[in-house]
Amino acid sequence: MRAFVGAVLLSAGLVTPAAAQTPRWEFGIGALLTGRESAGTTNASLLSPGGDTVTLFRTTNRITSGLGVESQLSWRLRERLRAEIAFGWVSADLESRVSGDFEDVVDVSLTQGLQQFRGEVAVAYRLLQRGRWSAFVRGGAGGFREITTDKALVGNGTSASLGGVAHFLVRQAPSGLFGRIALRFEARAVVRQGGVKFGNDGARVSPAFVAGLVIGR
Amino acid sequence: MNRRLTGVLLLCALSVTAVATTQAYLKLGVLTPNGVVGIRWTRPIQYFVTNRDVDGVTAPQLQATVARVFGTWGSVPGVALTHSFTGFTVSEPFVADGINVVGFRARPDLERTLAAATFEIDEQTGQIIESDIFFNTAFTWSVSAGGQAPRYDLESVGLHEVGHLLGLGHSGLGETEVRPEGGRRVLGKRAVMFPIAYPPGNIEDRTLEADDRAGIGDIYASGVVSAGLGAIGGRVTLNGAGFFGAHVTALNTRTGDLVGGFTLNNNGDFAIGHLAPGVYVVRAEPLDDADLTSYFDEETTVNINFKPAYYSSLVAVPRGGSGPRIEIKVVSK
Repeated sequence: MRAFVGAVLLSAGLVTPAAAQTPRWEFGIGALLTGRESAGTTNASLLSPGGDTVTLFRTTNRITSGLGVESQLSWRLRERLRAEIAFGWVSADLESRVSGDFEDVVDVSLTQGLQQFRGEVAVAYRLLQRGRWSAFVRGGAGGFREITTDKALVGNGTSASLGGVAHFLVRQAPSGLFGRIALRFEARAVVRQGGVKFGNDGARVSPAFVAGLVIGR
Repeated sequence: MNRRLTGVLLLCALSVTAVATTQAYLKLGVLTPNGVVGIRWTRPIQYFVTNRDVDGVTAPQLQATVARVFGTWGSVPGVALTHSFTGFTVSEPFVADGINVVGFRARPDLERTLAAATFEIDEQTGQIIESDIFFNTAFTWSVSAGGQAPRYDLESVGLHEVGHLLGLGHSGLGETEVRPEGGRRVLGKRAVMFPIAYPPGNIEDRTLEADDRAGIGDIYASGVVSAGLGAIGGRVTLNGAGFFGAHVTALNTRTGDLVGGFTLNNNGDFAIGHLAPGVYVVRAEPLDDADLTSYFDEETTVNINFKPAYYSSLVAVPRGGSGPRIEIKVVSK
C-alpha cells in the first residue's frame, strides 16, 4: 500500500495537458465490493385444523456483501463513448437468519459460502472532464454463475447495472505501452436474477463498488 | 416366505393405540438377512371394494373415492403406479384371502382408530403381496365435496391409508398437544401421512404435501426423475454419540417445502431423499408429537430427551446426489 501511494505521488508530476485525450484502449483491475441482497423470507409452516398456518420457524434470507476482484477491458468507440467488457469474481455467503422457533430454539444465523463469477458488456459515456478527473455514466448487462463453496450447487443468472465511473489520471506519457495510468472509482446499482436457488425468486438489487488501477494508451 | 403383518398402521382420530409395526421411515421396511429392505409393489395393484353401504357412504361412492385417492398418489411427477378396481366383493378387509380389499368394518373396540392398513410381504424381497384397508364404522363418514362435520372425510383418510398400502410409513411433520381427556389434538401438520387426523369435516388432507410426494417418489419414481433430485444425509449426535429415532426436517428456503426423515440406527444416521435441488435449513427434534409405536416397533428404544437444534450451516442439495454428510449436534433437555 505504501509503495502504491508513492508511485502515485511520483508520477503525478508527469501529467501533461495531453491528459484530456481519450485513450484508445484501457485495461483495469481492482477490488470489487458487492452489497447485501435480500432474498426474502421463507417460513416452515404447518397447517392448523382451522386453515391457519402454524409457524415452526422463520427464515430471513440474504446474500451477504462480498469482496472480490474485477478486471475491465475498454476501447474507444467515439471521443466520449467507450465499450467495455468486465469480468469479476466475488466471495460472499448465503445467509438465513432463523427465528421464531415453535419450540423456543434460540435464533441462529446459518450460512453457506458462495462464489460468484460475473461477466458484463457495458458502455460508458464521458460526461465531463476537469483537470485529472473525468466522470462517466456506465450501463451494462451480462450474466453470472454462482457456485456454493462445497460445489454442491451451481446456478446461472442474468444481470444489468447502471452507475457512474470516475477516473483520476495519475500519469500520461506521450508514448509507451503503459503510457497512461489512472485510478478508477466506480459505483453501480446491480439488478440480478437467477443464480443458486435460494430464498425468493425475484430480481435482487444491490450496490457494487470498484476501486482499482487502469492502464492504457 | 411371506409374513402377514396385521394391524400395521392406523390413522387415529385423537391418538394412536399400541400396535406392532415394521421398522418405519417415510418408507416402510422389512428386516431381511441382508438388512432392511423397503417394501413396495412390483406388480399392478388390483383391488376390490366391499359391496356394503354404510351411513353416509354407498359402495359406489367408496369405490369412486378410492379410485380418486389412487389417482392422487399416481399424479406425483415421475411416479408410475399401475392400479385397477377389480370389482365389488363380499370379502372383508383384514382377512388373508389373497385379494386386496378396501372397505368398512365395525371395530368399536378401536375407539380412536379411524382406519388401518395391513400387509402381506415377501420377507426376502420386500415385495407387497396383499394389502387391505378398513375404515372404522365406529365413526361416521362423508364423501361431501366440501366436507361435512361432524363426519370424517373419507377421501382424506383414504389418501393416508392408500399411502400405507403403497409402502409409506408415518410422517413426523406435525405438532400436537395432549388433551386432558386423553389422546392428542393436532395443532398443525404438513403431511397427509402424519399419524393423527384433522378433526371431522376437515378436507385439507385431500392434498399431498411435499413430504408425502418425496416419500412416494422415493419408492416409485423413475430413475430419470430421481436423477434430477437430491438428498441430505448425515447423523444426529448427543454428546458425540448417535442415537435412534430423532426426527430431522429439511426446509427448502426457496419453496418453503418441508420434508422429514428419522435417524434409523444407533449411529444416528439419517437420509432424506427426493429433494428438489436447493438450499435447505435442517433441524432435528425429538419425536414427541405422537405415540412412538405409530412409528417404530414397541421394542425400539427412541431417545426423545433432547432439545431441538439446527444444523450449523445451510445445506446445499445438488441435482442427482447429496452434499457432504452433516452432523447435527443436540443437547439433553
